[in-house]
Amino acid sequence: MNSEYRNENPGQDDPKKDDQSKSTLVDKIQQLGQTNVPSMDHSNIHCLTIIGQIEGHVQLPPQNKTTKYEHLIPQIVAIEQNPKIEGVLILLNTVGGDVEAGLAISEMIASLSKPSVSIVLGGGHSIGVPIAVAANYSFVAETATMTIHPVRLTGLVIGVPQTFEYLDKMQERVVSFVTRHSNITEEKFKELMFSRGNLTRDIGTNVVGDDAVSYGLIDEVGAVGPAMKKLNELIDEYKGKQEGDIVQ
Amino acid sequence: MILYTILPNEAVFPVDQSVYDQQKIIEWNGVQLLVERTSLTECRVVQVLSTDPQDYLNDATQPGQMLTLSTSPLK
Repeated sequence: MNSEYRNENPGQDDPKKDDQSKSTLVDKIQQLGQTNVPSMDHSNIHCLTIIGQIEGHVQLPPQNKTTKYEHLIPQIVAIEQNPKIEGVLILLNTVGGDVEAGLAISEMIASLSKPSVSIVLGGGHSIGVPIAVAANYSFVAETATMTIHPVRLTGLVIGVPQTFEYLDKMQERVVSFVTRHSNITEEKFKELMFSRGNLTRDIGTNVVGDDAVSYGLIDEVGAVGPAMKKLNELIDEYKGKQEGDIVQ
Repeated sequence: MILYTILPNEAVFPVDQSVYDQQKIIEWNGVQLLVERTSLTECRVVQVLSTDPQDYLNDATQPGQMLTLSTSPLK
């Protein structure tokens, strides 16, 4: 009886929803320009969206679009733990941000036991590069770009030589992470990082979709369609491996 | 006035604390939402913070929707 009632009137059992349901239709037309959004069963593929700036130690004002690593890391842990989740799709459109926060996210993605596929849409700049390559397989949209440049610091510096060495070490961590998780060589990556004349009054390179693939940084050019196909392939492969383990 | 500085914009023009207080993250039916307070008992959904694509299809939490809070976690 109870379940029937719920089926007929979804949301009616929740007093919070009650007030809204009256104006929902009008709101939806205003916000989305349509009357209903499609629904489907629970997805076995979860999606991590990394957008705007990657926020580290300093909280940016709300008008900035940011991805907070303290939000993402528990989500990655949940993905690893939930047996219903079989794979994760990582969507990137980021301008970069905090190096350590970005590396933390990259390490978490790289150490996931479940299959992961990343797509760079629009931009995957600076620290977005290690996040993009951290997945098992990476895609880049044809028009997407990735800026590769040295690590930088703004603000007050106390102890310049020490800070310089510290930043040099930090950069080395980024370079080694990218070379370990992609097919690009260290020489090539550093060449792109320090090349002149590509960016206006700056060193570094803005790598476009096809070039990122030809350098070996990203595995394939494509977006959501091929990425989902690849992710499903990886999930099947992973499941097969797990079943094999059980037999042994 | 033109200000030439290597300092980030936030360091030169710090944003008032009240701007940060406007937005809060709440949990709504097991889904984390970034909401913007509009009145004491109402807030507007700004962003859905979830990895489940299904959560983004929920009518009630589409960005822009108003949520009525029985107990206000915004304080």
